[in-house]
Amino acid sequence: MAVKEGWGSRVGLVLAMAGNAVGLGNFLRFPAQAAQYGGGAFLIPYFVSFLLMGIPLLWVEWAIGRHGGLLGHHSTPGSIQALGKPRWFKYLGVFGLFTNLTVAAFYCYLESWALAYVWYSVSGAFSGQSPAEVASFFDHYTDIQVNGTGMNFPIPAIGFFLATLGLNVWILSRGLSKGVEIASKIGMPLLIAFGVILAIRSLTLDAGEQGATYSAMDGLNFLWTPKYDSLKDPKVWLAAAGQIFFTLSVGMGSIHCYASYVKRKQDIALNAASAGWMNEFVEVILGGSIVVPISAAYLGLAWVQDPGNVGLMMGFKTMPTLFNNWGWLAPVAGCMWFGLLFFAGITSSLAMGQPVMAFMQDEFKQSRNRSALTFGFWTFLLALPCILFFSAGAFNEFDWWAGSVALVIFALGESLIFAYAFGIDRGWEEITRGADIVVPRFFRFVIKYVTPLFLLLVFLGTLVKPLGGDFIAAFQRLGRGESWSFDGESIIGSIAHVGVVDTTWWNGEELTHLFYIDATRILLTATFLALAFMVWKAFRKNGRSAEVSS
Amino acid sequence: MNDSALIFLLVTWSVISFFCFKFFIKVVRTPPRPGDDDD
Repeated sequence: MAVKEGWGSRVGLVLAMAGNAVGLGNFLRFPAQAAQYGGGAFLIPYFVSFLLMGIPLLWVEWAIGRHGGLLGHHSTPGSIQALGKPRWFKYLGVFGLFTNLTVAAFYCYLESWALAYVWYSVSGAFSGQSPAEVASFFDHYTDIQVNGTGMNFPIPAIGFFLATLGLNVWILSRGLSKGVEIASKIGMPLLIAFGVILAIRSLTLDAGEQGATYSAMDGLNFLWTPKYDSLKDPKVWLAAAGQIFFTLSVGMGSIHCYASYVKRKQDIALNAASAGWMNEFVEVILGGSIVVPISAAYLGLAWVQDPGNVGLMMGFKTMPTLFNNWGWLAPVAGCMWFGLLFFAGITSSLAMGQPVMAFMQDEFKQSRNRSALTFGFWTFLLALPCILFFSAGAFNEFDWWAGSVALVIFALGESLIFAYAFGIDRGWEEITRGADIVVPRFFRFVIKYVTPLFLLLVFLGTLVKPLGGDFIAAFQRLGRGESWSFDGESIIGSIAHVGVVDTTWWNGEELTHLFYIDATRILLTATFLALAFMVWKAFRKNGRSAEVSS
Repeated sequence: MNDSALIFLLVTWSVISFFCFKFFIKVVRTPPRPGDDDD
């Protein structure tokens, strides 16, 4: 039987939304991007993007979500369809299911690493290990075969993944107020507390203290020294806009879902702003004060500046080694570090589960428990290739297509539909109805013109990213009559397999890397089409297409 | 830390902390209004 969901409290809703936004990227992706793209100067395009794209998009998504919820739609196929009459709108909304499901698949795996590393930290598994041993521990844990394309079968990692997924399903099955909200009310304060403690410890590290070779302040100095030259580089702007995009979890459909349980006259403007700024607090202040300063203190600035070093893997391969210098505090620090990553992860993965559950409840009349199990089952199936073919590239393919490209396409589409099909007048009324803050009228203009333009530039930048991301050199080459060289990390370059040496699926002895890449893409495409078919079937059965607002 | 980095850091941290706490405190303190729960 379908259950009527709702939020128990406003604080719970804001913490759940902030938890949705705060993820592993706040602590691992942001510092890497800031270190790579001009230190302090990166923060300028970052904040411009936050104000002109991030905050407006948060308001747009909250408004679409609440509007859809009033019409009984708690997932994006319905809430986007509710913005206008063209029947294809609901298929744009399929992205809001596809992204959540496919990102949840690899994200729950990441989350399970954090859970496992909490256990290993507490049990002292890293105690006395050398840096090489800690790095090798991770390779063994995930069964990564560095040069191979064969299958990975990491038994402990699969165990922790099943435990993590089971925990997600259990929390989701308890509903919004008794599950997601309670998890957020516990997870977010703990995450912030752990982050503050680690940040204070890392920033007070001085050269010669607890094995540190340099001062942690060197790292902070590097991160915050403005290099204004980088502002002229489009690559930096694209990276900053991309970071804002991913950190706020916009373009996913999870915000729409959470907001769809907000009542007609309840505020969304203040709630959205509060969740957005809380994410910035965690990302810029806490996220920027842990990884880079600690790494700089122990490994030096040159190590930090190498783009290949600071990033996702660093959190697991290097941090335990650095904590080992802290003596008796090492297991506690490891527990807090991986604990905060786990809380950051689970509050996000819960937000990915809810839209899928809501779709199954709304359109296929599944009960809460059954829809939670449906989400768990699909996530498990989709996670299998990410786990088993991790080193063959399946994980990265999921991350790129579902976690990057799909978000940009969906956000661009929804911003255009909101501003032009739904109409900016109605859209503005929707955003400001019941608002507990005065939303500056300037944002009406921003939502209509600037945000879609910003998103279009981000999309085009991702579509045709030139070799090395160097737009200036690419345009100069174009001016000389040379062709545009696509980067392997552009959408076109990725489809065309730019940079792939072996372009066959079988090299005579084994399946090639390309085979696994293409097989993953086929799987992702099939998943999207299957979800689109389910949307078509649901709307046909329920006659939903006609149910748009007047 | 050099002066420009310190200024950059302090200004950014202040702005973020200000808005983060201002908005969250407002969320916590604003009581529900009559009719808020109407669909």
